[in-house]
Amino acid sequence: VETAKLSDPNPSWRTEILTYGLTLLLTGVAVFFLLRLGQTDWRIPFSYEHDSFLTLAWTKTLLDNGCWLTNPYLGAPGQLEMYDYPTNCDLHFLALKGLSLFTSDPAVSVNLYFLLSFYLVALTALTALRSMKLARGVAVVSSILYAFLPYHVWRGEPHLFLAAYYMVPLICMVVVCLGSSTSFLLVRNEATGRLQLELRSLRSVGSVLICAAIGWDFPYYPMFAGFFLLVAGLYAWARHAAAGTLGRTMLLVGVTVAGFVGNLSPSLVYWWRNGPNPSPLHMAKRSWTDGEAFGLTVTQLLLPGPGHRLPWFKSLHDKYYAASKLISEGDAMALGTIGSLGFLLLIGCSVYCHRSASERGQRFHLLGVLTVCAVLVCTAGGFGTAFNLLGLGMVRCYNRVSIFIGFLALAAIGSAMDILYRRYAAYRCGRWIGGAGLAALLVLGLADQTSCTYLTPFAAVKEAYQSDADFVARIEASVPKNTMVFQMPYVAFLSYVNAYHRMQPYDHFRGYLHSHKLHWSFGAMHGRSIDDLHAQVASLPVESMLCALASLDFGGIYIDRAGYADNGQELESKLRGLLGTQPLISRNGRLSFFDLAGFKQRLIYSPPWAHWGPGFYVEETAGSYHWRWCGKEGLLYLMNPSDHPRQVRLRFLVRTCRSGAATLRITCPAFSEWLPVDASGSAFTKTLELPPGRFTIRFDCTAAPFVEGGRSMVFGVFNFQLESDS
Amino acid sequence: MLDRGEIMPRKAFKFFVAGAIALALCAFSMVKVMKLDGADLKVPLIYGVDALLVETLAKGMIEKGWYWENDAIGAPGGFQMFDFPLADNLHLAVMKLIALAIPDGAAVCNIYYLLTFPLITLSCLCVFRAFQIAYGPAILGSLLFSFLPYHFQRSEAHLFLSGYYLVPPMVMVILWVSRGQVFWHAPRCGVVSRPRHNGVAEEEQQRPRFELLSRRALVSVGICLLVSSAGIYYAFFACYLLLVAGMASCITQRKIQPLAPALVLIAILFVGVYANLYPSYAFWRTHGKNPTVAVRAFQESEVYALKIAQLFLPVSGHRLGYLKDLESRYQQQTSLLNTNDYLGVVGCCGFLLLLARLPRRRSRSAKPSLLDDLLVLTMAAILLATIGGFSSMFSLLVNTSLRCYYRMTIYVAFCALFAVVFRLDRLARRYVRTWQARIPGYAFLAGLLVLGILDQTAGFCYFDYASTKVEYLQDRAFVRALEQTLPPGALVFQLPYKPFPETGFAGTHHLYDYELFRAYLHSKSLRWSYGAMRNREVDRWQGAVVQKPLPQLVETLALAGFSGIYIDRNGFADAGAALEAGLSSLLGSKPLVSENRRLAFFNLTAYRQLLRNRSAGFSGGS
Repeated sequence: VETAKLSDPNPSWRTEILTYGLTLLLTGVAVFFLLRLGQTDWRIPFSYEHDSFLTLAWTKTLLDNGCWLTNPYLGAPGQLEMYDYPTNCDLHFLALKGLSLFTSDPAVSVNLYFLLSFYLVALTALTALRSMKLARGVAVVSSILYAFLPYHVWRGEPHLFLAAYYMVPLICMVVVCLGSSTSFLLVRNEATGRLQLELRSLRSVGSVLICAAIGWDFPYYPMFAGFFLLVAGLYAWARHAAAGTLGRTMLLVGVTVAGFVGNLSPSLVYWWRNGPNPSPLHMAKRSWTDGEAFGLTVTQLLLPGPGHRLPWFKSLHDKYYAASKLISEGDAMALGTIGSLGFLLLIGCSVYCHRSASERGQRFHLLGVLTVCAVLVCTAGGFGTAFNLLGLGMVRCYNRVSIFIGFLALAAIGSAMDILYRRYAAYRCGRWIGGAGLAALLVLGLADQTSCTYLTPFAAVKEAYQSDADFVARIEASVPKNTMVFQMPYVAFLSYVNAYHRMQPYDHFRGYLHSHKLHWSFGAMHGRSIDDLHAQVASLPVESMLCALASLDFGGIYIDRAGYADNGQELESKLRGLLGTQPLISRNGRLSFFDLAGFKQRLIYSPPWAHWGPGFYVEETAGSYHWRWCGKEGLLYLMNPSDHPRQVRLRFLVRTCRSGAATLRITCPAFSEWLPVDASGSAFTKTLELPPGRFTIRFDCTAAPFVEGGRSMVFGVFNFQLESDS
Repeated sequence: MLDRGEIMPRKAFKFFVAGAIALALCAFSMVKVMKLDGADLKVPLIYGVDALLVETLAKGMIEKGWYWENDAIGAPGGFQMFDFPLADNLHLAVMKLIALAIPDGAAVCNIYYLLTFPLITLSCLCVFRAFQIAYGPAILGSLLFSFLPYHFQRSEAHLFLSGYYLVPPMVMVILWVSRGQVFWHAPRCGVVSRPRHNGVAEEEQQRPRFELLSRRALVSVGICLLVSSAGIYYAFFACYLLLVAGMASCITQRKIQPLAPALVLIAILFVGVYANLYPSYAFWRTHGKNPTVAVRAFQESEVYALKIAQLFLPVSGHRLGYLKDLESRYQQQTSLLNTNDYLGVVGCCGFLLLLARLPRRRSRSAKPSLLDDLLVLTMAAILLATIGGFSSMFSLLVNTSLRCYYRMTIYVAFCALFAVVFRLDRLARRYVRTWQARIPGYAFLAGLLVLGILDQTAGFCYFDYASTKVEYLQDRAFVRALEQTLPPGALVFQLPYKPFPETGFAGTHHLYDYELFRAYLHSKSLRWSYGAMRNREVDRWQGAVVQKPLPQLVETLALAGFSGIYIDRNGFADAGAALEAGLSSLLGSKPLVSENRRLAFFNLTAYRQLLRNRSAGFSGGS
């Protein structure tokens, strides 16, 4: 190790470019054959199920609206607002936005980005490995193997932003640089002896940019990046005890955190204005026990990938997964045989290379320590579990650190191969043999790491996709532009209670994905007012539900029959009876659609009704007493389903949560009033003329808030009554 | 060296005094922590679950010589442990010695369990002293190691695991191997350094050499032989850590020879374990293996794995409210619950202290630190035993017999406490050089000891001795009453039928494994049906008999020579009401019932006589 030459004798840009070109070429060949691109159609998503609907919907949101956070085509009569589920993938959304210059089809964009991720991962891994002074051939092989880890295909398009892990090698490069005590970014001025910021070298600027960029990546990656940066910083400090090392670490971690927080800022602003999501079932609320259930295990790192080509490996894999009670995210963790050897090598290096004086030996030790620390924290029941239990941990799926470990392991095995390669490359035949060995290793490694287990059967995907596209096109042809469609069964978006019978959580996005001019009810954030409205409407008897939908101006009902035990027969027969029309049915018989236009014409005598909007919390009751607490501001919607104005009378009591005099401002197009309120209660009665459609009343109170259980309560509306003229 | 006029060497005297202090503190802590003033040593401290098996084995050993066979249980054939072997002959031998003085199974178990505390304290103290640790930190470490929550969690129910007094000596041997001090003597530093200027003598000292009959070699062999007879788990972990230490030594010295001592000691452990299990192997050669006993699935190694988080989670019912709530929350919510094997606050500090050494840089010429060796052992132990660690691969690929890898905790705990003790020792050597400095030093150690023991112990360390005694005496009275109605050597069939061993609650309502041994524990002259090895001839017969309708069952039992039926009502959903009603009408008699109404007994003597008369009538008629 000590005698190995660490720098290439003839570094030249032409050779480097050729190396990158060769990597791209080999990656392209591997992508084509291993992903069976010959059988696919670019315009059809490679995956059309489960989480891939979410990915496709986000991408279409971005293409339709320019921003992924809100979408007026979803969550009707409101809109999709993603603030409560900050996915923080702006880096990837920017990339998808860039792709939108070439295509406006979400399926094509997602397909392209997924395929592009293989190239990007290979290129960034090559960059990182070359920065560690690995020989070109070794670096090319290791980087391509890294791009084809089982993690990549397992994540696939459903977890597109995790599959695009091209920032991981780059941040690992920064981590290694930091742990190696290289002087950059924060250097000591030789003249003054003081530490100063240095932003002129490529290394400094690059590391800052990489840290900032990873802050914009999927939240797991910046969190793990912060962890590895801290470990590397402490490692360097423990070995050299230089103040600059700690300062450098803090700077890089600070940049990562700043990027992360900056990326999160729209959600932070939203929560500041609207309060946190009140639903305990919202998906962003994770139990600490998830840290254990989705932990990393060493066995799963070492086990062969799914559907292995060697029968013994395959049976070993199947035996484990058939019986183990701790599946976590299973095959996504597998490192492949070469990665596994690298992992074991690193475990050994973590304790046995601590005396090494060579640069390479010290790097082995650093990589080993990083790996051991990652295992200790992220293993099921490891330190991560303890952090989560104490409320300090933010990570749920600790197993996802496997992609960092995968890089460290392949870097280690690459370094080991590099020693052998350089030793024999001095001889002419040695170079040929070395090259042939690397080529064989690449082929064997790819054969070991890949299989067709997680490739979705394309013919089935195409059939389902085209059936849905055809169905939505027929709906669009039968209803006016901008018609709102209510989707049944009611499925709360991003709630833990989100799957019915054969239906998966995001199946309702099927409608939107093929639509160009309709507004769909699915996508209202669970726990917020529109979702409450959907739940309320869907719980009504069918006839009342139709009245409510018509008054909300919905023009149709879309039914996913997979969401019903009886395939939606009972609901459809009632709708047929009430609406007097036959539904449109999709080619594969899964979806149906009822047009409400005729029903809305008949609906002129239904009484007005009220719906509580943003600001108001869920209704509470005590006997005949019922009330809703509200924050500082709140909205009340009055619905008049008829086509003419109706006389209504509002009657309720207002109480503040805290004692002391305050005023409540009640404004609407018809009137504006100041009502003095206090904790004892003030009565309010008003008669007004309600125009057809939705009528909004705004409440704004000056009282002090009372915060409890995540709710900021300012005033409450008690025993609300709405009486109409008929 | 002896001074003129000294009876005992100064060092030995100091060690004797330190040992006496440690033992006194140990005894005091035991009485306080376990509230022994309320216990009766003639009554088992635990009277249920696995403790019943241990007590049965102890009683069998006292009465029958050893534990392998016992004709007082497993009737009509007899009890044979060959299919469920234990490599714990050392523990049984010590218990046998105790039994020579006190021939009572319960008392022997109690005494041995209580004896494990001072034994652990002493063995730990000896090991620390072997590494030149000052007495103060050594006593502290020994007592904290002895009072680990692991000890109380295993308790008398897992008596042989509670006797972990060989773990410190085993770690000492592993450290010797790691440092090249057994069989193969390596130079003191990490790599073979060249002699500088001190001439031939130093060169000789620096040269690596084999030494097969040194004192350390003999001690190592002896310890390995003892460990191989003190439980399969500790022996297996020792093999694994020896292999790691040997490989560490190999890599550090860049030679293959240092692996040899590790392999030799592993071979000794293997031979020792094989010798312990030899009766079983011999039995299996003639009778074949039993495919249903002690069968483990590989995934059990994940279920019973070590959890790093639980090493740091406080004990159940901790004295501090916040920590108590934290542990309780964990217990209630986790889906991967295992036994809590907290390292204690001092042990946790030691664990972190070792981890903090991971990144430290060591010079190639520097003498290897003991802490580095402990770090290697700790890391290796964690990587093997953690959930889904190497143990899982081992179970998947090699052998599923071992499943409770959380028991590696005890090796981890010793390494962690050793790290603390070592650091305290170094601090003491640097800063505590005068009498004035020693007083605050000892005060600090005393404070740490009190804090550590309070932190590591809580309500789970003692039992409700009074109610156990009542239950025990009630069972005794019942069995004695029953014995008065039957002749010596009479067979008693126990219901519900429960295969032995390890069936949990399967098919027997609230009746757990080994509960039916209660009768045997109090019996002097009767023979009991429970204890026939599962899937062997007698067990198969018992299983077939209980399938019969009640009249045929009773008749078959009577013809097979059984003189009574013993019923544990906890084994039936209706508390045995239907069975007892049937038996009462069939036999025309009411059962004898224990004071606590749990046990019932039907005497078959009259029924047997009736059958005998009937068969005599038949033969007379024919």
